[in-house]
Amino acid sequence: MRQVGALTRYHLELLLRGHGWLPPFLAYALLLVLGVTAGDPLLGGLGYGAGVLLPVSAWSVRSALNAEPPASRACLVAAAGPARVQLGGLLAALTVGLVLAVAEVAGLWWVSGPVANPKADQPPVGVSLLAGLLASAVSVLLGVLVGALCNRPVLARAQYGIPSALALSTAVLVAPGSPANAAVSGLVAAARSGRVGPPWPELLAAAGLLAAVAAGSAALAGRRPE
Amino acid sequence: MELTGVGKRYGRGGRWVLRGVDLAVRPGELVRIAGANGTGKSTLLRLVAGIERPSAGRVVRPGAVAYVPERFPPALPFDAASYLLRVGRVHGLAAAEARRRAGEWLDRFGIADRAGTPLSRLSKGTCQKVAVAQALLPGARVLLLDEAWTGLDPAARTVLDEAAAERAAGGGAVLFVDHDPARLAGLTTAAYRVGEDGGLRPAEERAVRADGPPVEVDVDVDVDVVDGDPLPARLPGAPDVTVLEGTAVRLTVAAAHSDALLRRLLTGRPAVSVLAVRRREGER
Repeated sequence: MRQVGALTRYHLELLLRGHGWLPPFLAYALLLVLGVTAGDPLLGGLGYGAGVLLPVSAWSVRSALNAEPPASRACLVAAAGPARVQLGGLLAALTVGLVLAVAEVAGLWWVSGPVANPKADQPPVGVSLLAGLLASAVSVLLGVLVGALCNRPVLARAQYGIPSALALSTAVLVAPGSPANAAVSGLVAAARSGRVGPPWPELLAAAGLLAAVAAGSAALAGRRPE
Repeated sequence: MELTGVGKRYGRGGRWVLRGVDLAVRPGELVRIAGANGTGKSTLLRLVAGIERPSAGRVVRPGAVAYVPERFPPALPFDAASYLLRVGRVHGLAAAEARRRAGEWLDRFGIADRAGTPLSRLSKGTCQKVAVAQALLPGARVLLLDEAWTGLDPAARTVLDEAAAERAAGGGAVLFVDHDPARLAGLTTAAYRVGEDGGLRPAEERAVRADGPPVEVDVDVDVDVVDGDPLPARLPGAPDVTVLEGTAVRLTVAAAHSDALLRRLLTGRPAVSVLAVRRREGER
């Protein structure tokens, strides 16, 4: 566990120093600027921000897993085993995604107007922010899941990585029964109705799904060579 | 560390790079793997490191492995000191300890002044020193050196020679590949050759000297074993031991190994104090 923590830190530092975090961050900032206007209702903006965060998190997984040249990765694998190295990369991407989620919720709170649509009942800001944060976290968890599925070692052919991540992200966002879909559409519906509830069950489901996929990809990392 | 019936091929129906390899390396052993280019020496080390999975057979590792890859990339965005710190942490060292050892190894390789320089701006040789330091710093039970000497200057090669001997003397298992047949001569406990067919066979170690006829200069190291404890069985250069009066002992060793021997005596157990070091007159 301590080694996984050290590997997470290693990958985070690699992302920060190597500027691997910058492209997903800039893309996310751009999408938020395009999609949210100052003075819009908070809940609608949070729904949009959470939805867009899913493919962005998948991208940060791609950055984290590909930031390292094979030879220095080999040194880490020798030290800690391939499964822990894979988990470290995924946890680093998850951390980047969660930081983006917090920044997104804070930024939207700052620029937005009323909490819900002006004609609806106005729910309290605190609960709305919590709901937005949890929905964003659901998106980050499932985005990391998509990233784990669309990169080495699960997807061996690198050239299909980006198209399959985009397709799978869209599918996870629109598929009925998907926790991301439920969390995001919950926010959008709350903006219209003014009745908001934090998506705890969706968060639990997303965390469980990610844990299963991450464990699977870590196990696979030990089986498939570089 | 043990390999049983290990085979490796890339893809179904591919050529067997290694086949039927049985190899056991016990603590304290320093083992050379020889073979022509492209015969699978690097693949063997990568299998031991757990970077690749064998297509057949089993690899058993006693614990963490430190590995120096054949080509270390300068494409990492770290500076030398923070890279070593991070790798030390991955090996399970506490931050303060990892930082201390990183400084120690940078110092030993004479690049302490470049600790804060990004790896991408270091020369190829300096970068190789960092690559070697990341493997030596954790003190792992198994040390794998894949042509780690290539690109190092003579002083750094000596440091690495000493470090490899020290690691074996300290109870580690060291496995190395190098093109210089005189590399670690006199210290290797076994040597194997990878054949064209992928098989691993014992190779006779000839006493090859890199330059001219063998010139053996011996050094006497007189030490006082403070507590009277026995000296370790395996010391660098396999010195001849003569008991002097009291707890004092004279160790006679070839000059090439005297530095490694002294370092081992001073840093290891039992605690000793050095009484005298002198060059012995005449032939051994």
